[in-house]
Amino acid sequence: MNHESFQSFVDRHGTDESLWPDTTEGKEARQLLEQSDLAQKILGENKRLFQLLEFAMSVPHPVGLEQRILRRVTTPPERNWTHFLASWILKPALVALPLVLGFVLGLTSTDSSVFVENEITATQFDDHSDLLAISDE
Amino acid sequence: MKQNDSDAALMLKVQEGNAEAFEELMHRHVRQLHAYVFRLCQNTSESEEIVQEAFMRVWSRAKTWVPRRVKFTTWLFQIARNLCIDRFRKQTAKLDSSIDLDLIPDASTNRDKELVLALHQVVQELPERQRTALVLSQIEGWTQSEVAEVMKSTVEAVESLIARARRTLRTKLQVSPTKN
Repeated sequence: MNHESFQSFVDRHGTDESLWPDTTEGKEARQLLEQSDLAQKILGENKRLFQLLEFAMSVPHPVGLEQRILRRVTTPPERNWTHFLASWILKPALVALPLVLGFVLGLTSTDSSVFVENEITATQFDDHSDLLAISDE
Repeated sequence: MKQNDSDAALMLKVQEGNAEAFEELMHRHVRQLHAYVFRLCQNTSESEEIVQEAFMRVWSRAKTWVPRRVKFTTWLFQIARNLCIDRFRKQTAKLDSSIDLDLIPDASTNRDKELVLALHQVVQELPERQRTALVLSQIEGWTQSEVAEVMKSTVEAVESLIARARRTLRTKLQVSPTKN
């Protein structure tokens, strides 16, 4: 193992030697660490970097977060007028809409058929009067 | 009594609508979950909202948790991670965190303080999967198989993600004695 592959090994397995695998590669890494100053320097620099990473990723204390979560869980969701409108008026209205439309369309079509029927009767009457006029002549 | 119960035992009670069991579960895990979420999104208000939403889902979707299929903490962190990813997709999360340099030990050099600031920046530039793997393994101390479960991935893939993240940090911060 050379120093480049030692660095690559540390990237994969971390800086805690106790967690390094007991594979051939792990044994070679431990051996190099014992014999080489540069390997020790590499590991030391990596350890320092990742210690600083913990500071770089420090977390602020979340004040009152637990209480806020509990309040949200135990309090039923607020129902304002839009909820009321949606659940009691809008949804039934949407369900009834096709029915109402069908009813209106039905009414409209009945009216037009009556109108057409009247028109036919009127035409028939005109035909009859024409025939009467011809027979009079 | 509830303090001695396992997470799984408490979850079974939560599934029956037991609010006390939920409170105990939340008390156990809220800090670690908040730390994880904050480290991913680096935004105070967003991270608190995500944690609240994650626990709300634990409560409202408790019955979807199957004890033998997945550990409670794995499930909880999966929920939080998915919420974080949703926020990243919508790009609503804005970085607003700052580092408290006073937290660094007095013995630290100015070089260390510069490194901390630079690290903070470089971690935010990592792809989401690398950042998640790095945070869970390097900071939270999870094993690679635990990280793989949360990320729904393999141990080999997680090992590779962590290695790439560490390499990126080293190269961007020029910590590489092999080049000296």
